[in-house]
Amino acid sequence: MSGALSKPMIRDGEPGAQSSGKKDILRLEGISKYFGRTKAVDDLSLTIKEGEVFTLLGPSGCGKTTTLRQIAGLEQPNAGKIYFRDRLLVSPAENINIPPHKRQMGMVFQSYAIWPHLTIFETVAYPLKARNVPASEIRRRVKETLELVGLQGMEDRPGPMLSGGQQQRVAVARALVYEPEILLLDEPFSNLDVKLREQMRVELKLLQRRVGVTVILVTHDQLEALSLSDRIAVMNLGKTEQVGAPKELYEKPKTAFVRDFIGKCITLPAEIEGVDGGLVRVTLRAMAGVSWKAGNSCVSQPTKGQKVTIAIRPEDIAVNVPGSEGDQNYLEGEIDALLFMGDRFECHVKIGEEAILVYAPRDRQLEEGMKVRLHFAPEVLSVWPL
Amino acid sequence: MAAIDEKDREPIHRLKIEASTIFYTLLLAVLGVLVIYPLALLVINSFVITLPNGQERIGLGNWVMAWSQPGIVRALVNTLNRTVVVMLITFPISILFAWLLTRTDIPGRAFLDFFMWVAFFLPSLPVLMGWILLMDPDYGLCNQAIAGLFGLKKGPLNIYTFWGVVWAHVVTRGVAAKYIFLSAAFRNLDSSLEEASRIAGRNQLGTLLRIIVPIMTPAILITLIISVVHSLQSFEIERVLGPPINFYVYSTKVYQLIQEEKAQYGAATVMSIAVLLTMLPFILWQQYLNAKRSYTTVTSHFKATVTRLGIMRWPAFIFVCGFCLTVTVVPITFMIMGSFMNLFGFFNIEQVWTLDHWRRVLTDPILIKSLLNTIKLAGSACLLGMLWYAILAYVSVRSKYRARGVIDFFTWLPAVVPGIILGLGLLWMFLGTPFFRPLYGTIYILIIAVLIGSTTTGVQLIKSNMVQLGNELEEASAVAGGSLPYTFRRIIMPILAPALLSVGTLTFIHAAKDVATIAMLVTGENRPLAMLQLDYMVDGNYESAAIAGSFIILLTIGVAGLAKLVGKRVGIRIQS
Repeated sequence: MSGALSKPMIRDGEPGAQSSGKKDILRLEGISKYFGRTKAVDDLSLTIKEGEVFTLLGPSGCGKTTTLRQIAGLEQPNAGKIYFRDRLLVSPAENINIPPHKRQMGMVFQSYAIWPHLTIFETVAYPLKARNVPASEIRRRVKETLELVGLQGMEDRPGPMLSGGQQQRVAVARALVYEPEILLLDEPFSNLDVKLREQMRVELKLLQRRVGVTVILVTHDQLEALSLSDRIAVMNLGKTEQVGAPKELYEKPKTAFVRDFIGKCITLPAEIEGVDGGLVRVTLRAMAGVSWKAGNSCVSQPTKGQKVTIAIRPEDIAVNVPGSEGDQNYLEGEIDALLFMGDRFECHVKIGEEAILVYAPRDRQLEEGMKVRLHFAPEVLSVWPL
Repeated sequence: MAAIDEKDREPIHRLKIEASTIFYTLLLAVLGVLVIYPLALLVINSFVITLPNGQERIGLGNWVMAWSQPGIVRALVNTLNRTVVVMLITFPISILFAWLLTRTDIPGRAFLDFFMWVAFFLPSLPVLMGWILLMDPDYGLCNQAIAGLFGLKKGPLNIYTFWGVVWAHVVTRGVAAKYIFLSAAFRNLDSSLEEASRIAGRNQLGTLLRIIVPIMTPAILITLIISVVHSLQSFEIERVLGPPINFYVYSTKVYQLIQEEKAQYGAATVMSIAVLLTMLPFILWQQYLNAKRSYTTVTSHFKATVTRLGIMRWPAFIFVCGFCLTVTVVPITFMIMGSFMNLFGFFNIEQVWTLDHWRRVLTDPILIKSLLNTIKLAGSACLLGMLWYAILAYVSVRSKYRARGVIDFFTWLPAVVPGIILGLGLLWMFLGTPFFRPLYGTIYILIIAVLIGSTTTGVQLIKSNMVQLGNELEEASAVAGGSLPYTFRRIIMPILAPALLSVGTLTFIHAAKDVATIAMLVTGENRPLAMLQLDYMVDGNYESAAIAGSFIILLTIGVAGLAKLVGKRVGIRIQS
């Protein structure tokens, strides 16, 4: 790594650990975008901080790619404003729209968009040439950037003769070579096979640490989002459902959509009995009316008799734990199907008419047809309004 | 990090959007003037009557007069007759060839396919020349051979007949053009459909008739309609073979009416409109079929296996190969041979062979001027065409310009307007509009005519390539800092280079051989080689015509070969 690239890249502190102290780099204010009569993005506001990896996560059609493309300038919003620091990038109300080639952002496309008629060198040099950088400096900077992404010595390869992983590296190099402050990634791993995807994920994270560039990532893959991001905005129907750190979203989802979209979740119908200290007492109608205590409540004002849903992650359910017989929160059932997944078991446990999915460690002695006792600790149970 | 200037915060982008819209609207206007204006002039002028005192008046006089004029109705009937007969003969042959060369194990498929392409590109006049030499009733070589063989006084063949005209159509582009369209469709047919039929118990012929032909019906129908439109456009064959036997089709009739001492613009215009109206249902039908897009498409698990012909391979090969030679090598050889003969077709005179014609023609300023005209015409059309068609295709495929549907329509129109009618419209435009009048008699008027004539093919070819080209390739350039002109120059044009090269080549070849579109517009000053050859042939000066034809063949084959060579170079880096 040479000085030219590394100098501006090392930023104080670990990026993303505590983003609150950082300055804002990009601000979206009330962005709306229509395609014909459908509303792709609906009054969306976001603030992205300097040096963080910010992810737009959501199912296809939620407006995340459209949002990214509006940041890049490839689409224009119908309403709202986007600021880069204090510079207004777009505002339809004021007739302001900086075209993409003047926005100084880097972007990696889903298809990588590797130009078939250029070599790797020409491809990476393209953004510099478009900015009239002198030839000697182009050579130097391209060389440095190719080293950064691990493509040194491949300058003369034509673009189409590259593997998927190499194409992605070229696309990243092209996006980073003119040292943009923001790097936009549109589903960057979706075209890679599983093994390569994991490898590139790690590489990208390391690269981002080194370069310190602010990354805005679009993905529908929650694993990718959870593992790479400092903060995630979960999007649905053109709006954000929740913005927060990955752990926060996983453990403390604020909406049912976020709860069901991130990770697996078991939900059971229940009825509120009362509030007991910090715990909510519920009756499970479907499970022979057993009474449980739950430690988390998303119900603003619990009232007796209110119909609710209780939710738990399958890995939080304990199977046949000895010494917990005194607990109240349990169900008994029979293993219907047992799937060995390598690192764990997936048990489908039949309880009455219901079936519950449970993850069990692989050291447990389990077999199909076995009677088991499932424990639902109050601190991992949450109560949701219907 | 790149510094962000406060002055970059320019609120001028709105203006830029308008700039591109203005540019697109300008394009539309130019296109409208070139395509719609001439046709509109035709319609309007068909209702303008000139009174004996020179005054002009609106009326139906031209229409009434045209129908009472001798020969006009006859010419329309002839056109219909000839089109139907040529279709009945060429269509089954083309389907058979397309099937043989794409779906069977006939030997030398690539070789035969190549010859069909050569036949498709060969200018029709030189081919016609060759066949006149072979089938002239008096001195035709075939006739001489048959007469000698059977001891007849005179050979039985005569190219100057209705059937001679039909034959000329069969051996020029009649079969080759249809083959080109059909073979593409046949190639994309999933062979599992065929195999299923074989397993279900049908033999090869049964499969061909009951499975392949029905599945291919939409593609075949579209080819049929395009061929009918093409056939209606034919001009030069009838122009050479027709007058001696007083056989006129509408295109030669229109030409004759204009060439007469007192040019009959009214009647010619009325006739052109009548033909356009007749073609309208076919055109609409073709659009309808195209829009439905019900052709069989290539699936991802597409497989093209071949039908085994067994012992029939060789008779099939001999048949197809014989035809290929008949439409390419044979006529061209005889045409070139003719240029070295003292008297075209006479082998029993004292001195059969001579270089005199070449000597005379090569020092003849008329031929040299025509040769230069052709190079200027085809070269400019080729270069301008590549740029003009690429811009039109870009606006149609990529831009968000509201009126791009209209641009689509305008670019498609020239394909269905017969060259002679377009030429007549352009003649009205160039003579009738003071602004354009100075262009009359210059090479520019021909360049414009040829560019309009090739618009549809050129734009369609680039469009189909552009559609395949991912949007993200362009967007990547925009995000990387390339403005729209920069992106167009550095990304779009190079990636489209192979398609542009083919478009350039096609435009060049078309410009070098076309006579129908420019026939009305040519003067002595701007006459290109193809028109010179036609004039020589009509005058019966076959030796000089053969030499002019040799030059056209040389030019077109030369450019096609050059393009292929360059294409290979470019292709190495384009291949993906």
